[in-house]
Amino acid sequence: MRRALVLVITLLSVSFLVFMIPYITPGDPVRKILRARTGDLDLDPEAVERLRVAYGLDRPLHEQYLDWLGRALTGDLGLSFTSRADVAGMLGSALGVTATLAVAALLFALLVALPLGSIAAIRRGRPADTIITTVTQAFVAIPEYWMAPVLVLVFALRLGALPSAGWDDPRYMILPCLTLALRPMSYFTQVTRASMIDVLESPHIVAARSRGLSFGVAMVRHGVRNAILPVVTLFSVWLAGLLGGSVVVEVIFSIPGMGRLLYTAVVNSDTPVLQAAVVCIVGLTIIITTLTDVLYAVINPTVRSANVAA
Amino acid sequence: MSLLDDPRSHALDSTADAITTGARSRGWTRLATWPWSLRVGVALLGTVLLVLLLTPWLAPYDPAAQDLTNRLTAPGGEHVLGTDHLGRDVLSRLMHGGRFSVSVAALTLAISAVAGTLLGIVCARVRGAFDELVMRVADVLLAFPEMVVAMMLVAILGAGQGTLIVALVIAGWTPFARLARGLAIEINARDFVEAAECLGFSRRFIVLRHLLPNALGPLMAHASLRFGHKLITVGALSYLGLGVQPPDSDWGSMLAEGQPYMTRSPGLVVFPGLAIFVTALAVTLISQGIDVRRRRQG
Amino acid sequence: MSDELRVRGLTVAFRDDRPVLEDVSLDVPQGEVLALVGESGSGKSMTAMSVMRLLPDGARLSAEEIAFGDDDILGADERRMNAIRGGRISMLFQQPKRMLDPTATVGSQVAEPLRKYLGMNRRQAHARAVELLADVGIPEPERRVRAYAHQLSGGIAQRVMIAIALAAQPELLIADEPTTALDVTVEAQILQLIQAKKRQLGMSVLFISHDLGVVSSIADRIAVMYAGRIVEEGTVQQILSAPQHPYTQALIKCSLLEPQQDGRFYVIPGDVTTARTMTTGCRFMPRCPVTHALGIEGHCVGDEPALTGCGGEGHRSRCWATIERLVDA
Repeated sequence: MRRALVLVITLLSVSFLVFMIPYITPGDPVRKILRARTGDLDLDPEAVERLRVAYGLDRPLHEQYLDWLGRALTGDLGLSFTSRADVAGMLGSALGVTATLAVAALLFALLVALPLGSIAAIRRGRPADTIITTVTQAFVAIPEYWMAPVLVLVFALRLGALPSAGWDDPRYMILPCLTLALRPMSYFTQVTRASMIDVLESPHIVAARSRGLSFGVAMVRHGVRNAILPVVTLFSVWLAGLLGGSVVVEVIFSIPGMGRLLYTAVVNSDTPVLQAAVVCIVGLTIIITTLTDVLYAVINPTVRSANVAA
Repeated sequence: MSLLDDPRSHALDSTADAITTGARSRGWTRLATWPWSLRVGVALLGTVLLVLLLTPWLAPYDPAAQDLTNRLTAPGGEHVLGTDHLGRDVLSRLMHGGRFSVSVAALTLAISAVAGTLLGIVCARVRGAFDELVMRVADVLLAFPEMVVAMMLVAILGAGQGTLIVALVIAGWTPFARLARGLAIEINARDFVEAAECLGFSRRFIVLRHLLPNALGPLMAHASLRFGHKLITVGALSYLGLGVQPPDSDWGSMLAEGQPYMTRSPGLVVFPGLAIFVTALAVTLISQGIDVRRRRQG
Repeated sequence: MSDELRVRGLTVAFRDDRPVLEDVSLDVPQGEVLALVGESGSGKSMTAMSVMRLLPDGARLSAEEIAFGDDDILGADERRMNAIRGGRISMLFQQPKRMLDPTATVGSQVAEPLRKYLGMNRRQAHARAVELLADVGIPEPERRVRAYAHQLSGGIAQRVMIAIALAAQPELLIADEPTTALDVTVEAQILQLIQAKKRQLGMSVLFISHDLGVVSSIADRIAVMYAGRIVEEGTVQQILSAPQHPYTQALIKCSLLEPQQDGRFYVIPGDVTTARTMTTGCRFMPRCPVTHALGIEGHCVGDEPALTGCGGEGHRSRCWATIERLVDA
């Protein structure tokens, strides 16, 4: 319950903040819009005024905000200043694209990280562990905007095996997903390794083996659930983070996702899109975080009773 | 067989110790005891920093000097790392650009760390409504991915180095504040602080002598962890054109500029990225090495 | 199958460190309780883990013999050991709450040996689990069956562990300090429970503890360990009324908690870690009050004494004082 309240308050305050952006910004928003649309540096004052009235930007602030809020709640997020397209529609499709990209990248990262982390934990202290740990930590230092061009250079331009930009069929997903997956994979691996080590040394595994369970069975039945918890949490944190954080990859690969939408809106001072995108991202992040907590409580009973007691 | 042999009585000794000595130095000067990660990290970072510091004297060419007859040359010869699409020397641009990248990242980190820590300590001391407010704001900020915050601020303040710093500080102070607050609360509750209070030491003394030194370790560890990330984010924003503005350039914008020409001259993309990678890696190695060393000493 | 545990010449070492256990031998005949007593670091838990073949990575085990009845534990492969653990030999641990999987219900963990060794299906196992919980004295077992480890008190958790350990009715129970982490009143109840179960199932028990007082009520025979060696063994009667080894004597004085003449409690000076670095002579010598008193330093420094009989049937002690006396006698 309290969560829902926090969500609403956050969204409202964020939306107001975002709403205020063009008004805090130095410069006249209407002029900026016109400039972005026409590319003219010299603007006809009459045109500017007409636009201002047309967009209702001459009315008092609070009226505009409430108006906007009212329309937003009914699903009308307005039209883009630059493209005149329906913002809600733009948002929807962009969200779908980013969601696909993010989920694919993170799943791939998880697929690699879980076995790698487990191996590193089981062979702790030995060469395999050192290699895995060092390499994954090095990967964290690789920027996406370096990895992407290099991948494009090798696979698209030199080898011609994969497309370098666009979003038409699954093949287009490969390079961007690979790029995006690199850093979360490193973090996932390290976290898996740490929690596996904890589990391997934990007393209840020894107790399980003293009951006659083989190492494998004991780990699967009593180890996995405990080991997986931190990774699950991290997964959702990354998912939420990629909603806007994938902007660089999206720009490089010309992928029509949320990040690029936001970026274009910033560059073009496209206020309606900007407002809608930010509020959307923030709202989704909070929802994902809340769901993560619920999921965590489901997997880890220790948290459940604590909540009940509180 | 007297009470002095009883291990429990040694607890009194350590309390007295803590009160009189506070933080302890741990013999960092013996290089031979450093783990390899620390050595490599310090060597790399040291080299990078040295080069960047001495750039005005070391750089072979003026980074803005164009030579349109000499465009997109390969590395080697006169231009050690080649030239870009305007004939400018890549190495010199790398050096000058690095000064921007690294200094902005370091500055951002320093400001967020200091501001965040102070805020956190104040929260822990004051508690109450102020504490609640700050923590709620921190929670809300958590909902914004860093890039989104940065882009929003660019939308308000316009692109540029200053905006970059403000944006990253706003996005980055929360972990420090939380850490500092948590540590402060925990240390406040510890026995030796109570004992010190009983013995009559003032609150300010306690904070300075015990809180800060004890908190410094984890905070510095966290800071070194974040530096690499900050550097990469600075690069990302510059890459998108939202950070450093022309005619200035840094590693990120160099990458963006070089991308259209990367088939003819891959170095234009490889070298700036490599610079970021090596620097970020160096700091990561250092923080890893410190961690290993701390664990070895127990 | 006769159910006697036989250990001969057990030695355990880690990498190149000094051995943690050296040449340990003991017997637990069917239906008897052997108490293994010693302070922290004496190697008692290692002995138990060696019998279960659950030593941590990096430990190297060698022995002449480890056998339980007809089962050769020393040479058994992992499959055979899995069948022995929980089936023929079960174990109790010191921190019961930590030995339970925090994410699984109590009932599911009690059911594990039932399903594995008694072939029950889920419903049968669940029902039997409730019975077993009631059997070890847990109130409201139907409710407890669905509880999680963190919801239990220490005493209840240990009872649960006992239920799990005895579910498949093993022939030998190894109890590694099962009451050390519990309150004194709870401790007494758990000890009673163990004794009752022992009688009921006809089990043998290897009871490990640092507390002579605790074991005196439950044990038939006692073996005292110091620095990885057995230093004295005998019946409860022999050990408590006529202890031969100076360490045993000191332990008894400590556990009596009676102030000495000068009003202080008896404390054995020094600690056991010095014994690890010694390469010759008796390991207890640095802390031994007898060595100077009897003027036998020469022997104690030079050679380690062997376990020698000291009068009573089956009563042996590893001390030059004992050997000297026999020689004298």
